[in-house]
Amino acid sequence: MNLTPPPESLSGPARRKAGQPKTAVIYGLLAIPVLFLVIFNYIPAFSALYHAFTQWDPGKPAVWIGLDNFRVLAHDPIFRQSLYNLLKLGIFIFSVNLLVPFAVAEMIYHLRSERWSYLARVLLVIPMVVPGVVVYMIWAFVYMDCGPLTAFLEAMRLQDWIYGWLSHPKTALWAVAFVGFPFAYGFNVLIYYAGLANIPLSILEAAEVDGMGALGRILRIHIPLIVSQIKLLVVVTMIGVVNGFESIYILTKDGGPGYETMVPGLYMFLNGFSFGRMGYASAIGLLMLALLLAFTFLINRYVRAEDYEAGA
Amino acid sequence: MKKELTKETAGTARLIKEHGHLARDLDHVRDPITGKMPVLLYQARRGRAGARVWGVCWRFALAALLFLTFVPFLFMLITSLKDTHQFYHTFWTPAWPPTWDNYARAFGELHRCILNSILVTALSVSGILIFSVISGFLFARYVFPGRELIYYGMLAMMMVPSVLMLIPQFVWVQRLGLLDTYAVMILPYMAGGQVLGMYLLRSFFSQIDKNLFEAAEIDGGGLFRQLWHVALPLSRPILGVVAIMSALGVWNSFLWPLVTTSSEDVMVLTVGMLRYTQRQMYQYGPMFAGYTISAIPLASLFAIFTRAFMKGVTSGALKA
Repeated sequence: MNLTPPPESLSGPARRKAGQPKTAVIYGLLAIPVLFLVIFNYIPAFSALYHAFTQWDPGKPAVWIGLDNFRVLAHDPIFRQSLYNLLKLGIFIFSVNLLVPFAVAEMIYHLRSERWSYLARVLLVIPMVVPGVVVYMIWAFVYMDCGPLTAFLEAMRLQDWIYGWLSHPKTALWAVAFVGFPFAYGFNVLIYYAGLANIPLSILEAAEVDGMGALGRILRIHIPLIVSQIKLLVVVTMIGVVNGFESIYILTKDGGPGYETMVPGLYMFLNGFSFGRMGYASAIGLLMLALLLAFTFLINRYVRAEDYEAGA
Repeated sequence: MKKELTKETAGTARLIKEHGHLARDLDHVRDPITGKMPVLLYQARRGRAGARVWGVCWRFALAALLFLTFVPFLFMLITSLKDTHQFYHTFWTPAWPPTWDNYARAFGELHRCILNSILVTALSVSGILIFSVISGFLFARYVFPGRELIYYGMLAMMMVPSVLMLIPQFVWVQRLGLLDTYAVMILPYMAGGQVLGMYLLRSFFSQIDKNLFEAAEIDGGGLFRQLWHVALPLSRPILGVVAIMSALGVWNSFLWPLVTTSSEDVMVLTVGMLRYTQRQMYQYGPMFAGYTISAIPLASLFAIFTRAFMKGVTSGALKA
């Protein structure tokens, strides 16, 4: 893969080759995938954009109300709380989802035995066969009164530490955040590991000859050379954080107690499907999109992958 | 002249002595794609006690992390074989005799959902693969008017969060009369899932040596011959990655089927699991048996394709 010439740039000069099929054939082949995308993605996306500026109740035509949704949103205490929760949750999830798998990938990378390293990677992937929803349900059980966490603390004689974790306002958000502990997600580990395994040997040799220590090697060689993997995981995690309220839907159902575990995604979902305020929900969705786009833009602008000789 | 040579030889000898592990390990370097790592380090410092303690420490930490990752799933397996009495009296450890009946009961309630999920996933993934192979190949191989516009137009949809479109998409499929059918899941999954596949396959196809295609062209091979006989045989690993990623996405999707389907006939596993859990109030044995059953389809797939999967995800194709 490394030996093939670099991919022809998309923006390169347009050269039509002799053996190329007729343009009509190409358009014909592209038509079906594009049509699917238009019907199921473009139309809903523009519909969401338009309806963010309307009052839209189920079964009734939408009425244009300009920026009213956003004005209400600016003073909505529940929305503000949900943003705050998302920020707290996001910072936590971001740190653990990126750092723990990196540490694990480094450890696996440094295992001297190929057999053990492979075994560790396979073991980390196995939990992925359990559907995400079921993982959340198992964790909902972990936090229950008759669940393992309570039993464990009782066995340790730490009765004072026992809460109704998901129903106590102080602990609910953290209970949600700790789902998936110890956060050694197989997918993230494998992505990091792939980056590490593809670092050319010559660079590592050079570092070795220069007498670089383990920490220096990780900070100054490994991390700069897996920036593109880190970027991928940052974007994927960000999308997951903003989009992902499935765990909260399963664990606390409506963002309770109070609004302690409410996040914008869930608030949008509830507005759209429970409260019948679909225009308002679309406005929330639009704000979330703006948030995501701004973040992705910043990442792409300020974090650049370094090129090294062997490519890959 | 002779003296210099000796000096040089002595230097080399010293280098080999100090960095001998380098040379030795270089002999062992295997294909980085299979995940074989260049193990160079640590041997030189092996003798130091501090390094050795540190080595034991992080290996222990790794083992502990692996174990903790599995605790909830081990608990699931153990509890799935208990009846209510056993659940309350032997909480942590496996109980005897195992209550196999839990599995019979769970399977009886869940088999329809599992079949639905398999059907929806298989059809969606096939559709995604066909779409993304064709469009990825066209974008990589040919120049035609509007190529960039269409390409970036498709790619832009990757940025739009699915949550944003949830409500209008729902209203839209309702108007199309698709609610409560398989199509309401399969068609949107195909539409949305093809984009990542197209992106990955386009960049892979455009890295294939052009001469291969041109040779096929000279032999009179048209678009489909080139695609079928040149591009596809070379891209099995990346096709595997696309298939796995989209299969996982479809298999795990929850909110969309939750709002668009309600009848048992088309209900998929994720939604079925929610309903099942709600029915099993305080019946933890059958509940966890159901959870275990929900993992069996992917577990068996993974068991068959372990090597291919690990190779695919480690190949370095996934990066931003």
